[in-house]
Amino acid sequence: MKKYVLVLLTAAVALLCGCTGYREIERGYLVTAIGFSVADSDFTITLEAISSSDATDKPSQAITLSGNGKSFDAAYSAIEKQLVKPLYFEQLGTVIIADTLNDTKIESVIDFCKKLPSTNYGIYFIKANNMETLFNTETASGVLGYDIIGIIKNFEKHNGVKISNQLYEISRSSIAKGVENMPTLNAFDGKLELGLANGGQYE
Amino acid sequence: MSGSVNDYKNIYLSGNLDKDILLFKTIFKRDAVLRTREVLIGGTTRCCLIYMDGMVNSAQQGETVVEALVESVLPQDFLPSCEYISKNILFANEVNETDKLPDMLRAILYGDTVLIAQNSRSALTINTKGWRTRGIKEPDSERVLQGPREGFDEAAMFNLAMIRRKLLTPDLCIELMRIGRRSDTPVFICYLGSLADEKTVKELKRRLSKIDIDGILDSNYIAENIRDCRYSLLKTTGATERPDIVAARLLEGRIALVVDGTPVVLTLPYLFSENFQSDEDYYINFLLASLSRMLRWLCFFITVSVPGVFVALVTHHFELLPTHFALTVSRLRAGVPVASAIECLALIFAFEILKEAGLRMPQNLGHALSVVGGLVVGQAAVEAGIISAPILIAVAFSAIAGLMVPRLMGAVFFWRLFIVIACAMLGLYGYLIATTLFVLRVFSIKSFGVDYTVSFSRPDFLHLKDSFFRASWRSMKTRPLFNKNKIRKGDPN
Repeated sequence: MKKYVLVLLTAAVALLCGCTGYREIERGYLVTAIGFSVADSDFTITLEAISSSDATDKPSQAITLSGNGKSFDAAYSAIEKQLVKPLYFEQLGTVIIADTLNDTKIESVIDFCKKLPSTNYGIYFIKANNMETLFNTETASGVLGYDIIGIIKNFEKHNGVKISNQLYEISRSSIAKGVENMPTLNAFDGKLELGLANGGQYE
Repeated sequence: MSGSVNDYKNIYLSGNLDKDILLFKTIFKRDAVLRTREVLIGGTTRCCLIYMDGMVNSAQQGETVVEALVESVLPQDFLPSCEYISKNILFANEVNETDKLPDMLRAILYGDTVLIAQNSRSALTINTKGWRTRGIKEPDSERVLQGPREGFDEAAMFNLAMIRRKLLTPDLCIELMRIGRRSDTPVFICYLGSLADEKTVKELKRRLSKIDIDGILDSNYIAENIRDCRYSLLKTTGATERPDIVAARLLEGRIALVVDGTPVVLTLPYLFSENFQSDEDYYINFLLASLSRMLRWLCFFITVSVPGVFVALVTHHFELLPTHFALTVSRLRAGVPVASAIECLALIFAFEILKEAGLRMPQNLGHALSVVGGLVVGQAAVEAGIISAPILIAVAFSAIAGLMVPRLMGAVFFWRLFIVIACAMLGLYGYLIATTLFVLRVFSIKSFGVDYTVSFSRPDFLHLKDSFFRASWRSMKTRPLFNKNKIRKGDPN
């Protein structure tokens, strides 16, 4: 009997003190894409997040949030201060890096991504030359992060290449590829276009 | 006084008919249905028939006892003797002489007639049982599309006859025990002498003899008293209302317990894999039966896992959800006032309430309940934002899958709750821990000394042939592992 009481107490304590990592999916913003850029030692993070409305009959909305600071951590804090709900990064599919970032900065981006709660090591790293235009582009599904994954998969299928630029691959070879070797995604006239370095060849 | 017939074991008949009649009347002084009928044997010797009204076949009693006694012609030197009356006067097919008062009382209470005579210190118990029974009907809980349709009723003797009709062999052993201080219920232990394990039979008798209870009104009274794990949710004794199932289990070397007053016969030892067997499995094509059985295994895992895994995914592991699905769940959960885990638990309880209500209500109202409970309340609750559709779907799917394994219904309910709580606390790690505990628990259970999971002890065809699937009768050459005569036919290799 003592055993059962002990188990029940442990379960009750764990449940009541909220130490189990329990979260509700609709009580936060689901981040689908995040962008990093630096201009004159001003670090900027732009991210796309989906927020559930408070009514089930209204569609979810994708919102673009951005924050600046002396570092990426400071920029992220600036975003968090704007929000009433926490950010969930589990659905993060793409990290977009401004093509102006040098190798050292990319390393700090990778470190930042690894520090995120529940980092998904399958996220793609791509570069873009104009972060603001990219995040403001109207995409097919209305969710940029989701559509970028679709574009990458389609690209792989039709061109017979494998884009090996996911976090687990990048973190293994660190920044060996460099920003110049990353696939490029840009928005032209409201359309997203993926391009590869080295004349379309990608290893 | 314990209320048992054995309270009277030290009292004997006096030989004085009036005093002896008074003795019975005193014992049953508050029983309005006791009848005593005095008869003169051959017009000279006084005797008395004692019986319970409504429990005897009056016509049979009149013809084979009363008429025989009244119309008998006694020899001139006749001395009242039970042996003489039994052998020369009575027409009844079963007559026993006894001088033990408990045996006489037991006979009266079981529908027999007791004959006591002047100057005789012993009595005759005459088989005149004649109470009404429900008759042979197909059991509602074990219906089949193909196969025998007969089911047990509440009279143990008829039930034994149904079993014997299927096993025409003198090897069939039927032993009687009486359990219950006040009910003194006859319990019959049936087994095939050449197949059943003597140790198991002995162990069963030992456990039965230890039962100390006022009355046995159903076989579950016994099942709970003889089970190996008192607090386990998984049953370790089988229960069936079908004579063909009992016969099949006896042929596998199992033991059956037929309890008077209930159509449910217990069989033991009972294995975990039996929970997934259906009565019909053996009457249809083995490929179809195997498919059904594998579906049952799958549904068992679905029914215990789906609500918990769903809760784990939407509360701990969003990354495992496809983006669009995550967005849909997030949108549909918006505005729901309670946490997903609480919502899931509440729905599981709601389903149990609906199920219980459906079981207890008249059949005609069942459809109305499913419409009101399933459609109206469910849809209204989703539209009102009290519950979310994804969790409702997960719990409903789990509930429907649970109906595929009715023998595990009670255990499934508790395991489902346990897994949901574990998943709410620890996500998929909780699921792994809970399922590991479940597997460990199942593998630790024994049924009368036989491992509950003995069918999985060796993962080869010979041992799995009647567990995950049902092999053809041509390849069913061995019996389960726990009986002494394993070879069913031919060479098992």
